[in-house]
Amino acid sequence: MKSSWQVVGAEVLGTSHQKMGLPCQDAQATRLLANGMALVALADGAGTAERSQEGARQAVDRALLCLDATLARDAPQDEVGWEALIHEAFQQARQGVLQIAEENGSPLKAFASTLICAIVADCWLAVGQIGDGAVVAMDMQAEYFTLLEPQHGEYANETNFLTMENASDLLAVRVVAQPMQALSVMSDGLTRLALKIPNYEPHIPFFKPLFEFAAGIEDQDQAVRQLEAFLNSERLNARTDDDKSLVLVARASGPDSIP
Amino acid sequence: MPSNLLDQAEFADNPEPRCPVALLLDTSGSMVGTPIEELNAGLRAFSSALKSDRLASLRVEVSVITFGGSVRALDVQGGSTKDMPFDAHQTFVTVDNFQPPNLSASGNTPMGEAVQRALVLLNERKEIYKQNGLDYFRPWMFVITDGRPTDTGWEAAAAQIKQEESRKGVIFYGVGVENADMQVLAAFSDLRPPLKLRGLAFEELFQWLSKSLSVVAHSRPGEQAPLPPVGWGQVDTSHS
Repeated sequence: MKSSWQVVGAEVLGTSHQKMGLPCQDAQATRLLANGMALVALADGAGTAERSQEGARQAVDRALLCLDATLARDAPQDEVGWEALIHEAFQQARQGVLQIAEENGSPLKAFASTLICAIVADCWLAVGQIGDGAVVAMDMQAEYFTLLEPQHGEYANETNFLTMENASDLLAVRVVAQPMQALSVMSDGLTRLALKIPNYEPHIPFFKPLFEFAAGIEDQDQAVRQLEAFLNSERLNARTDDDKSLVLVARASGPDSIP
Repeated sequence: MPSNLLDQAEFADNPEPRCPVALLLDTSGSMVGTPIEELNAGLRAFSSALKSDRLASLRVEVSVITFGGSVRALDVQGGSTKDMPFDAHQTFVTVDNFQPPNLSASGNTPMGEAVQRALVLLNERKEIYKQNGLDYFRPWMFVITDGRPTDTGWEAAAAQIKQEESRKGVIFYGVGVENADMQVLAAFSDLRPPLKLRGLAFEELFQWLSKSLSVVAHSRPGEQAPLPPVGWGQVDTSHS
């Protein structure tokens, strides 16, 4: 049995980056697999790392490449298998960043970025995260929960990066063996708007309309433009000056797709 | 396609992260006249410059401690000349509510005591953030003096700051004015050599401080925000 997911993602330059002439250092990518699964990867390049947008892009691409290739052959059957797959994707992503750093003769930390990956299957959800940003899901009973919380140090401008030496220890993984209705992955630029600090509970009035929007997508290109317009809107920019990226995954609201 | 759904998304109402700053200002007798007037003008420039940055004005919290004759915490919310108790609940105010005090100069220079008390205040402020679930940036201590400490405990205060600095607890900046003892100021930090103010360019100094704090208040995870270039002084290298 295949489930049908609607997926939309966008990344938008933050107003402070615009002012300082910095590029958008967020990157996100999604894939819908033939077996019905949806893949999400999202990375937020470090502000001070000079080539972090390349690091973020590479991390995202390599993680999806790994997940796609593995899942095309075989899907894990248990929690341990999903966890191992997430670890593998992060290792491949780090390897990819290491490679471009070596090719460029630059230190790895010049490509520093966070990374979040999610695999949404019909009855499984597996997510991994190094750094900040957050993953929020809604289950079939319309309960919202934050799967993985932003990682930060004592100070607000400190977090973990894929490029750190102990990256595999920093990786937080969560596997849920139940069907989900919708999922959202976001970068740090949105967490203060979407989560209630300090406990990082989802702010439901933020997610509910977004998930409804995703479930009802008819035209993919138009949906991306609408999401970009939302991320660029004045009311959103009044509350955050950082780059912001957002991916929404929802079961399609067609008559056949809701189990 | 219902694009208005996105317009319906409501944002969580979270408090802004905070960046506590202690301004330690030398108001000893040698500052009388033009220096103290320029320092006051600088404080006013600092206030209006940071207020024009909306997010920074909600994130940066300022406390003003003076050392001239005695060590005092000033009323930066009311802008009155009365003293405040050394209580981290009362001595800090976000920049949007900051009233620059009008300083006058007299007495000796108890800088060591001022530094020690400011460090206590900054650490207490951090505790308040933790208790209230507020995110925060590394505290700043900014010391401006035109002389040398007259209290005996300043070496201990300097050692304390260095220790705090090494465990990333505080960012210390020392600025010397005119005949300040730069060697003494250098003893407070292993990371940042003291800066010598060019003439009495307090206004430029505070414009810089305002810009720097704006940069910090807008900095994202992973950023050691590069600060704007110092146009108001020079790094003192004569003792390094």
